[in-house]
Amino acid sequence: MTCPNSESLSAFADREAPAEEAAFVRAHLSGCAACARRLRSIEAARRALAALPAPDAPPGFVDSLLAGARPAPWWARLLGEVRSGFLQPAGAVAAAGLAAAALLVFTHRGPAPDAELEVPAEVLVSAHERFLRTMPLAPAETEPPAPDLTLASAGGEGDVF
Amino acid sequence: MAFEAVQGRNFEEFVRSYGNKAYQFAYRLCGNPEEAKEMAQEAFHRLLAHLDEHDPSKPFDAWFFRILRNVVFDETRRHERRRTVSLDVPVSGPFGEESYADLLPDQEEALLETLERRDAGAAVRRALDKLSPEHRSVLVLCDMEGRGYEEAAKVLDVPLGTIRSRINRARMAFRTVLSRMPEVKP
Repeated sequence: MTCPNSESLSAFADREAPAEEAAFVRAHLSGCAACARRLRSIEAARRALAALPAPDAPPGFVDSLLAGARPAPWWARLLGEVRSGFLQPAGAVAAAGLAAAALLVFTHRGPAPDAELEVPAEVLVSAHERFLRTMPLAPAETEPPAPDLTLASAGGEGDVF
Repeated sequence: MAFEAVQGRNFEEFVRSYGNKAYQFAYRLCGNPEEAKEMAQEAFHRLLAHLDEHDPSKPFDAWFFRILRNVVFDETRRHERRRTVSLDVPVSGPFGEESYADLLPDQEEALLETLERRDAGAAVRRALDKLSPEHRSVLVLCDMEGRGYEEAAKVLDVPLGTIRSRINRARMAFRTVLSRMPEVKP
């Protein structure tokens, strides 16, 4: 009597065995206690795995996903780029121009409510230019290389980031 | 590329349909609620970032779950040292096919008895965590989520025959790991 191999038994337990194979396994099981025990073991393992808890996501999880997917306002993105050093040279020049223009407008609006806080525009612009000269503009020099997110495993499963 | 143009519905509808499923799938794979939350979030971010790479001939939801599975694997790889079986272990599993066939009848009975106990959950979870990610994901898809071989093949992007052999090896590896735990005494 030839016993079905474990793959046949496994597919039979899943009701995924082709009809002919399933008929052979079914007929065999009635006369083979060892295979019947192996099948019971496969089914018990499946039930035990299915019984492991899989709780629902915590309240508000889906809303937080949606909130996280919305683009940040332009000023927050600009600030983030400056902070992370990812601002490219052209963007840095544009940002410097915008900042200088904003400072000029601010300083020509009239006297500040608190005279002690008033700083000459030239000083602010000069400080800002100094900052821009020293800020990192080349992420490749400051950031570690991006991690390889592909899965280097078998069977064509590594093609999704 | 606009999400709606790729998927046929807007992103919010997709997130509302799949947010909880994504969390549960990640939880089943990693067994940790905080990690599952972060992994599901990361999967949605990657989905949006790589939307234009979706192959329209393949089902979108299976593609999304494959992204999620890869997120979980990436995280597993980062914390690989806490796992007993690493990603480098061949897909055939840590013990090979024959080792399960060699289980003695009394070992098999003890295993069966453990699996049928009400308090088997903790040992089952520990055994699952010791498997390679390939084995864990096929068990999660087929045994825990009840998906058929065809659906699992789409999520894992492997041929149907690979699922059939992989789930068999995954089960053998799982039962062998479990049979070596202190809870299982012949």
